[in-house]
Amino acid sequence: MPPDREPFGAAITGLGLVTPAGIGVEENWRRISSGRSCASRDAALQGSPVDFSCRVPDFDAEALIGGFACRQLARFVQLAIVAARQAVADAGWDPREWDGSRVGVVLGNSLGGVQSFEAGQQALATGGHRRVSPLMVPMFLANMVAGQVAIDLGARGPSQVTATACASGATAVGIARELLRRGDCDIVVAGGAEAALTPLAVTGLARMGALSGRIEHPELASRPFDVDRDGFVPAEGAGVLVLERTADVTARGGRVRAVVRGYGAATDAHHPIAPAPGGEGIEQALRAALADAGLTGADVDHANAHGTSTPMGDVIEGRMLRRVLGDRALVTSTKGVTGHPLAAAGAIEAAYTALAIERRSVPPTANLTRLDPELDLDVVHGAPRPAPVEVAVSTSMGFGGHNAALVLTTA
Amino acid sequence: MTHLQERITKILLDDFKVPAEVLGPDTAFGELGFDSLVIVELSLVLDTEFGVELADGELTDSMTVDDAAELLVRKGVLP
Repeated sequence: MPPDREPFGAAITGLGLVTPAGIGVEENWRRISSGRSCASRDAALQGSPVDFSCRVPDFDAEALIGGFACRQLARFVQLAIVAARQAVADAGWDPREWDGSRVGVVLGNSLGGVQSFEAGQQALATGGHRRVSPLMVPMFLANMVAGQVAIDLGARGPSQVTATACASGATAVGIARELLRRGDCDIVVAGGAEAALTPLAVTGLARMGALSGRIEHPELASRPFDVDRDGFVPAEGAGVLVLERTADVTARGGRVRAVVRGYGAATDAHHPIAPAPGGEGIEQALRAALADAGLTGADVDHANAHGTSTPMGDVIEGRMLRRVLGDRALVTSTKGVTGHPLAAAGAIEAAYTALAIERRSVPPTANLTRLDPELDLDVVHGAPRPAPVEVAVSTSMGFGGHNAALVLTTA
Repeated sequence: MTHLQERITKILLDDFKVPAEVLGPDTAFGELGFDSLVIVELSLVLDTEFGVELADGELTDSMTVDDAAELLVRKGVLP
């Protein structure tokens, strides 16, 4: 038996979102609530087996960060910096005024600056070693997203990048909460970022059979829990949460948007990419998160599911949600709108879950017209469902068999 | 400004996105925020643009647009 631990809530004081659903919290919430998919033909993917994606619309990195700096930052880092600045401002902090030594950064990422790596490979093949940029490695490294955000914000506490594939963003939020619980820092900038929509990366995903092949109708391709789903739609984005100890927020007169009250993680130890058929890993993670929060499945009002729109993943997760939560929770997968932003997904969805609690509304699952008959769940579709959400969970499953679950509650 | 100095200036503005207001003929690259990696990157771009081969260390962060132009002229580039 694990030792008893005091319950601990980490207050979410700030949110930052740079996703296919828009730049900024309000733009995101409007689009997510509309239930309209962001997927469209992607000129950069022309000729790839899957030539559509969900990109962040109108992201002008030069205007937002400055051209000179941007030239040395891979796109996943650019997205993260903008989302982190939003979140910090939303929390009411000015990085010029805080004690940076007490601020941590924990961000998830998987594929790093794959564009830099590809360009370096191309330069080496065509021009020899002297053509390879010295910026290739610092732009490619996955951990640079935490390092560069720390530089941008002057955050000198602990920092790290979590790499649990598509669960990375949720893992980051869970670990950030532990840093606060341990007293290692007072503020943590937590989340995830991914921007790997290159022909090589997308072709690799397509060759795995992970992606939807609905190339004639990209806008209908991401359809979590629908009987006609056929794979996920690759996306990019960044989601950042500012977490602080609740007592500290009260003391400074800050606003609490929602509270991260529980976190659980578990591993399938089954197969590199296929989820365990019985959903044992994600079930263990979710039950651990609920126990960490001192709650049970019956307490849960809303679940923001991983639900990527793959035939196998959705049914495994959906059955697991029914087993653990019963039939009362309102389930949604916001990936119907955003597509699947890989390592950023768990953080973006934690932010959406916090908003569902704050706004007492569960956003719909896009393109869900006929629920998979294998599932017995109340999946919100068509329009947002008003609901007094007090306890919500967000689940994440990653290649490698990584599973993570977060429990969020009202303040 | 010579034609060569203009071309180097244009590279700094268009490719490296240096803000025009901070760039003068006497501004050292280091003052523009160029660290050792960006200096190597700049010599890479100059190599391609002018068909020369700058050795590592030939271009430094204390140099200016004028100095870079002089260096290129010594390599046979027309001013």
